[in-house]
Amino acid sequence: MPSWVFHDYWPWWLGAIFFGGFVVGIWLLERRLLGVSGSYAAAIELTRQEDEAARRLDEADPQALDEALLRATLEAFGPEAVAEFEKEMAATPSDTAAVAAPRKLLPRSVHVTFLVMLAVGGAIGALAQGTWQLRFDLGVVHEALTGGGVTSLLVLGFGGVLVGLGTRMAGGCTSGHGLSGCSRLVPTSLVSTGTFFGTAIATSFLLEVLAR
Amino acid sequence: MSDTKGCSHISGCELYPRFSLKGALRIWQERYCNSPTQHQRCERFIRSNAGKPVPATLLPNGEEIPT
Repeated sequence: MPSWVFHDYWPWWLGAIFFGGFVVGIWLLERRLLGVSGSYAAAIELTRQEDEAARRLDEADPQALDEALLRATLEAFGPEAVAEFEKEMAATPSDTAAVAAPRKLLPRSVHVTFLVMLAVGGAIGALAQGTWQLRFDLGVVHEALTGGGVTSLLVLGFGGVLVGLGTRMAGGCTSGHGLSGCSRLVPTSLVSTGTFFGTAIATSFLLEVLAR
Repeated sequence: MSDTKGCSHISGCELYPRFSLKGALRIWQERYCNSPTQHQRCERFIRSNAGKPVPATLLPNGEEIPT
């Protein structure tokens, strides 16, 4: 690989092209939003409740589903309001007709494959850069703060639990909120991303100072 | 009839495309999804923003599709 491509890390613009291309590509091809923690939750079936509901929709007889939806619509708005709305619709062309067909639920194997390929992609990147190696530490700062050994692993595990809890509480992670959410200017994603990136930057500086 | 400044979750919503399949069902889009203010009453929108699970069968008014 040419030296202008790889230094210590990939150049920011190359990563941006890959990330942006993937987010836009997955939307154009699949009409889906990227979300790594969502895939992780689906892979270990944390989203069972949502999945079961989606599976029921997928497997329902289309005509019976239509009828059930129509019944629910009539109950929600009343027959008169629905009839009035249909009259208005007939008189005014609507731009809501041209939307994608309902999405099918992705099987768990797709999520597992995606997560495995994340690691494979990272390994390929490191191999291409010539920096691939097995490591059992998180670097000098982490070792200096934790003293290494079992303590280091416990701190690492505790940190992982906090990240997992925070991700579930926020309803997404750096990819879901940071890429898919911020690009659509979703307020909660903007706040979440600002919060976790801001906290991460502040924590990194603090740890650097403490480790000196 | 519809306003493009509606719900920001439309692109990822499992029910929005289903509401387009039949004329009468589009009333959901009109009364919730495409409304610049009323989409905030949608139970799916509220749950999603709170980081809670959003079942595919949950209607904007909080009722379940009887499947």
